[in-house]
Order: sequence, then structure tokens, then C-alpha cells
Amino acid sequence: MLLMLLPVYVGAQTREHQQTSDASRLEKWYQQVLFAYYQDDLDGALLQYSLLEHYYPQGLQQLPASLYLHPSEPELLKASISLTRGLEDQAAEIFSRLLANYGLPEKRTAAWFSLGLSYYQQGQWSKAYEAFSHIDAKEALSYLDTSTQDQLIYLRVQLANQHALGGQAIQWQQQLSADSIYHYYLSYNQALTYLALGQTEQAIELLQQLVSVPEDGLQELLPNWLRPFADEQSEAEYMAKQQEVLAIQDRVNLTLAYTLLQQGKSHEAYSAFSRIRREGLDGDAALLGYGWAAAKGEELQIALGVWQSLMVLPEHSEYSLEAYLAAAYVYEKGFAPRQSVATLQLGVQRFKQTLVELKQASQTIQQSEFIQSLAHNYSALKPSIELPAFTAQRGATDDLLLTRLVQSAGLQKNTRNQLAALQQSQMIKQQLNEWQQRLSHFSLMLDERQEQRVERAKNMLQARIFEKLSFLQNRRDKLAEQLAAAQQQQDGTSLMSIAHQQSQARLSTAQTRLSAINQQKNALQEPVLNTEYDARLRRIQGILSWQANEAFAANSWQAQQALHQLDTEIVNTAEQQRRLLAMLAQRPDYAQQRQRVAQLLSRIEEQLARNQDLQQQLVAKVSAQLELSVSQFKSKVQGYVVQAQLALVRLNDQALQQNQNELGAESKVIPADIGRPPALEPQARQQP
Amino acid sequence: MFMINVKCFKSQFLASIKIVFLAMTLVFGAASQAQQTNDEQTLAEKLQQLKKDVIALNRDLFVLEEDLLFPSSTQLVVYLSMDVGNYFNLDSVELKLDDVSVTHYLYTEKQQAALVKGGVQKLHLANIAQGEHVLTAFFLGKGPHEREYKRATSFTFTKSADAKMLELQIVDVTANQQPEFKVIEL
Repeated sequence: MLLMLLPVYVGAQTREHQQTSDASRLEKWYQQVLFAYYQDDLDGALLQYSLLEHYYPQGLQQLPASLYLHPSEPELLKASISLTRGLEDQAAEIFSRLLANYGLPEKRTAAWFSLGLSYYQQGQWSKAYEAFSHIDAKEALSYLDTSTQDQLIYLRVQLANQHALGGQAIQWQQQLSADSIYHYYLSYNQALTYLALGQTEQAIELLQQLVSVPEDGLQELLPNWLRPFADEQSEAEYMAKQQEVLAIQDRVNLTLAYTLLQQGKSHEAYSAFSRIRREGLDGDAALLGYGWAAAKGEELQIALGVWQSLMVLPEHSEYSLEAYLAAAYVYEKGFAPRQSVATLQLGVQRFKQTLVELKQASQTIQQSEFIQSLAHNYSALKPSIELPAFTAQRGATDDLLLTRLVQSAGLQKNTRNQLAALQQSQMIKQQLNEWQQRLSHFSLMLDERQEQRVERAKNMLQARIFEKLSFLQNRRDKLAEQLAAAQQQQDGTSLMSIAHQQSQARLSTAQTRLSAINQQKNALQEPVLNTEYDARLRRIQGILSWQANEAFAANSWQAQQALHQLDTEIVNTAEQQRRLLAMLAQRPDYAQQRQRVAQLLSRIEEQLARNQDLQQQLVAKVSAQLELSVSQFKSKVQGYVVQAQLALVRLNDQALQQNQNELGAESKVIPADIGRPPALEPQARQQP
Repeated sequence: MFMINVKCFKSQFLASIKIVFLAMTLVFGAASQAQQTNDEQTLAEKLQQLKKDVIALNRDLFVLEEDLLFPSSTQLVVYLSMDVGNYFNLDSVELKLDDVSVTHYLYTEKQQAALVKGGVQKLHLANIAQGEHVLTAFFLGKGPHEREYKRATSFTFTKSADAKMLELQIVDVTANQQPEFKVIEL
């Protein structure tokens, strides 16, 4: 009974061992995910996840509880990693499936926030709005730190405005913490909206409130906004944010100054312009405006000095180019028409030079290689929010004009996203090419293995099988001969055991020896040995013969059996040899492996083609964006050319008229004030 | 004629203001054109899909590579894990298989931390013949009280036709406040 139960018990034990082994292997896969994740190797972690799910499709739900705090954790970790690696939809699918009932509201809130932020950064407003809608206001208050809460509110306000939900936006805005920097952003955006609606007074009031933040401006907000830094990276981040804040300050002052200037409040504009940093991104715009404010306040020398400093800038920007027209205006206003003409002529030369360079830039932009290298060098620091809109891409190219155009296009989120996408696509291409290379090595390796296998089979065949067959055949022949002789002579001695054979041999030796002794004794004429010896030998011979005869039948049967066994073995060996020969004749091919390699190669080619297609689309889009910048700038420069040429014609016309008047004055009596050029009329020129 | 000039300056100046405003509007990006957004979205979706497919491709390549280079009939995998890690700070591990050194691995701080947090490292992957083998692991690092610590552990195993998986475990033993090094078969 016990013996009957044994196989069942052994089977159950094997299954149990198999299950334990499977569980521990699954555990190892997940722990390898963690090993990669904790080293910030997110691509490696995603690969391990993918492998885990390949070997254990439901593995993430079967992990032992000791590996997580909550059963959804392994999948949520996958979602977070996916989100970081730009697989937002995959992350959203997991979040939507798991977070609704997730037991840890802290993680749930953080996950929805991350997803919404990611969508927002990509410009997918509806998806961002939807993701943020999963965050409960109370949970946000409890589980997000103040700056993240403010960021969330800011994003929600922006999204609500985009969805034309102004009321909701105001409600959200009221929830911002008192010292949040986002107040500043939202107020500034509000001021822009007022300006767009023509409500200039309200806009000015709001902008003035913003710039009336104490002397250091937004600097005061920084300590609350950023955590103190602990290492170099944090310090660099802090410095970057500080620069960002200063840039915002500049932008607010610039907007205010131009608006005031438009309203004829040149003195107030003057002070607003003076608050803008020269080295900032708005430095040139501020300088141009500063000149206008000075000119309006009759400070012509100051205006001229400012504009001349812009004119000498090597970069062709609207500010450096407009400075020529503005300086010409000041010269004319200051009774220096010749200098005005000279400045305009210089301006026209520079405008034309700019147009030539723009044409070259346009050709460069059309080249795919240029866009590719631009993306390759693109420093895609993922912005925490859209603040880096102020930090345009610098140093993308050595060409100043191209740099400016790239900066101009880089101001747009779309272009930044496209460049980042193109960069990722380039990395994918590089990876796919490497894999293609590796697969070609696999093919070579399979060829080598095939050859080795053939060689090994040959060696095996030659070394053993042929030898074995001939050996068996010899043995069989000998045994058959022995058996045939025994049967023919009806002598079973040859079929007896080795001990019997040895006894027989000893007996023969004894008989020979006895006979030899007797012969020698006869020769010496001595009496022969006692007959007892001979009798003993005969008796033994009789016993051995009797034993052989007795065992003859059985031994014959055993010999027949052995012969039969040898025949079977010979047949088997021959069959084995035949199979080996057949195997050798058939070329080994690793068909399955080769098929897998071929399938992977074809998939890589397919992905390469898709990637190429995507790259072309992205290049076309970035190129179009840059081309738009070029054409906008080009039409602006063409406008400058027309303005400068018109001014030149007018000034020449005035000069001609003045000459004619002077010639006429020599022959006529002229009133004292008649020669004053109408161009000097202050009322007419002071309206910029 | 003069008035034309004034208008030119005026319009140019206003244009520059408009440009500034335009730039600012773009910066704070209230709403871009619907068509452009759709195109962007399609491209982003295409890129996402491509990334997913590339990950799947990488996985299949990895599986194929393992099948070809390390078939289960000869495969040996050695993992390394750490439990707690209070009594031992791992610097390096050397593995010997049948008295032949096969791996020498130095650990970075990040890797040490990843192991302590629950990660497991695939330390060694190789092909070995079927039969009996001896694996010896030498661990170097800082033991209790920041003392240099070197320990070794040996394990005899039999490789069959199935893939063989072993795990080197470094476990804190609170009873004697010492680390323990062991090898288990998975």
C-alpha cells in the first residue's frame, strides 16, 4: 500500500518544488526590476518589467507580499517609470485601473499630479485637465507640499482658462498660498488679457502692482519657493530658477514700460525700462524702448547713444536693426539731416546684408542635417512647469542669426517638444542600429555552430560507432564458431565456465607431466610411479567430462542466448550507425533560431522605417517653425528697407528743396523763419 | 511726405510692441491652434507607440540572446542579494567556479544602496557542463565597526539538463551582530 502511494507523494513533492522554484524566480525578476530602478536605470527597469511579464504574464499580481506595501505597488511603480520615460498613455492606463481604489491616498495624489503635469508639458490640455480632476482638493492639501499645491493650482487655473471656465479659474487662484510665485504669473497673464481686451488702465494698474513688489522684486519669494540646496545639482537648479525669476521681472517691466510709452507716459516708462537688466533676454528690447522714452523726453543725446550701442551689436535682431531708423530719426530731429542720411544708408546696407544672411539661413533650415544636429544638441531639461519658456536655447549654432531664429522658435512649447521628440527618435535609431549589428553577429554565430556540430558528429561517428560494430561482429563470429564445434563434437567442455576450463587445463598439464616422468623413469630403467596417480587423474577427468556432459544442454542454450543477444546488439548498433549517417547526410540548420533572428531583423527594419517617418515629420515641423521665424523676420527687415528708402527720398527731397530755396534767396528778400524745415516740428514727431 | 514718415515710425514702433506682446502670449501659451495641437498629439502618440514597440523588441532580443548564448541545458545564473546590510557594506565580490575565477565585481554606492533596498543583481551568467561543480564566492567590504571584512563561502551543486540558478545571500544575523554569507539553490 505504501509502495503504491509513493509515486503520488513523489509527484506532489515535485510539483510543490516546481511551484516554489517558479515563485522564487518570479521574485528574482521583480527584484532585478528594483535593482535597476534604485540605480535610476529606468530603461533597464522597464526592460526587466517587460521580461517579467513575458515569462510570467500575470506575474505582477502574484508577487509575494514581502516585496511591497500594497498589492498595486509593483504595477504603480511600472506606471511611474513609464511616465518618466515618456509612455504617458501606458502610465495613464495603469493609473486609471489601479488608483481609483488604491489604499494609499498619498501615492494616488502624487501619481495623478505627475501624470497631469506630464500631459500639460506636452500640450495635451484635455488629458491634463482630466488627470488633475482625479485629485481631491482635501487630499492635495494633506499630501502635497505647499509648492506642489501651488503648482497644481496654477496649472488648474491655466487649464480652466483654456476651457473658458473663468469662474473656476478665479476660485482656484484664491486658493494659492499668499507668498506663492504663481500669484505673480497669474497676475501677469491677467494683465496680458486686459491688454488684449483693450483695458489698458487696468493692465497698467496690475503691472504696476507687480513691479511694486519690494526692491528685490521676486527675489524675496525665492526662499519660500525653493528648498535650500544640499549639493551642486541643487545649487545649479537654484541658480537657474533665480535667473528665471529675474527674467520674469524683466518681462513685467518691459510690458509695463511699452504700455506706458504707448500711453504717452514717457517718464514712467523711462524708469520701468531702466529696471530691466541689460544682460537679460529682454535687454535689447529694453534698450530700444529706453531710447524712445528718452527721445520723447527730449533727451536726444541719450537716445542716440543708446541706439548707437544697439547698432554696433553684431547680431541682426529687430532691435539692432530698428536702432538705425531710430537714430536717423533723432539726427533729423536734432537738425543733422546729413548724419541722418548717412545712418539710413548704413542701415540699408545692413538690412540688405541681413536679407542675404536670412536667405542663407533659410537654405540651412531646409537641410535635414541642420535640424538633426539641432535636436542632437538640444538640452532637454524637462521643465517642472512652463517657466523655462524664458530660457531660450542658446549656443545651438555658431551663426548669430540662426541662433536668434532658433531662440525665437524655441520660445514655443511646440518647437521644444518637437526637438525633444526628435532627440528621442535619434536615440531610438541609434539603438535599433546597434541591435541590427548584434543580430548579424548572431547569424554568424549560428553558422559557426552549424559547422562545429557537423565536425563533432563526424568525430563521434568515426571514433566509436564503427569500432563498436566490428568488435561486436568478431565476438559474435567467435561465439557462433565455438557453439557449432561443440554441437558437432557433442563436447560441452568448450561451453563450460572459466573455472571448469581452468581445471581441465590443470588436469591436462598434470597428465602430461605424469607421462613425461614415466618416460624418464623407463629411460633410466627405474620402476614407474605408482598407478594411483594415473587412476586419480583419470577419475578427475571422468568427473570433469561428466560435469561437461551434464551441463552441455544448459550451456548450449546459454550460448545460443548470448549469440542471440549479440545479434540484437549488432542490429541496434547498425541502426544507430544508420541514424548517425542519416543525420550527417542531413545538413543541421538551427531553423527555429534562424527564423527568430530573421523575424527580429524584420521588426527592427520596420521600426527603423517608422522611426524614419517620424523623424521626417518632426524635422519638417521644426523646419517649418524656423522657416516661419525666418519669413517673419524677413518681412520685418524688408519693411525696414522700405522705411529707410522712403526716409532717404524724403531727406534728399528736402535737401533739394532747401538748395533751391537758398538759390532763390540770393535773388529775393526772404523772411527770417522761412528756411526752417517742417520736419523739425516737435508736435508732429513726438508721437512714436 | 513727412507725415508718411511719422506714420512709418509709429507703425514700426507699434509693431515692435505687438511683437513683444505676441511673444509673451506665446510664452504663456493660452491656446494654440486646434490643428497644430492635433498634429502634435498624433506625433506624440506615434512616438509613444514606437517607444513601446522598441521596448518589446529589446525584450525579444534579450530572450533570443539568452536562448542562443546560454541554453538551459548549460545555463548557470548566480544572483546576489542583501538583507538589511547593517553589519556589512559590500565593496566587491569574486566568484570562482571549480577553482577558476569567473567574475570580479566592484560595487558603486548606488548599487550597494539598491541591494540594501531590496534589489537583486544578476551577478553571473555562464555556460557550464552537466555534472558536479563547486562555486566559491569571496566577499570583500566593511564589516561591523568599519573593519575590513573578507569572507568566503563554497557550495557544491549538480548541473542537470535544466537551467541552474543560485543565489548568494548576505544576511545580517542580529544574534552575533555579524553578517552571514550563504548560497542557496533556487
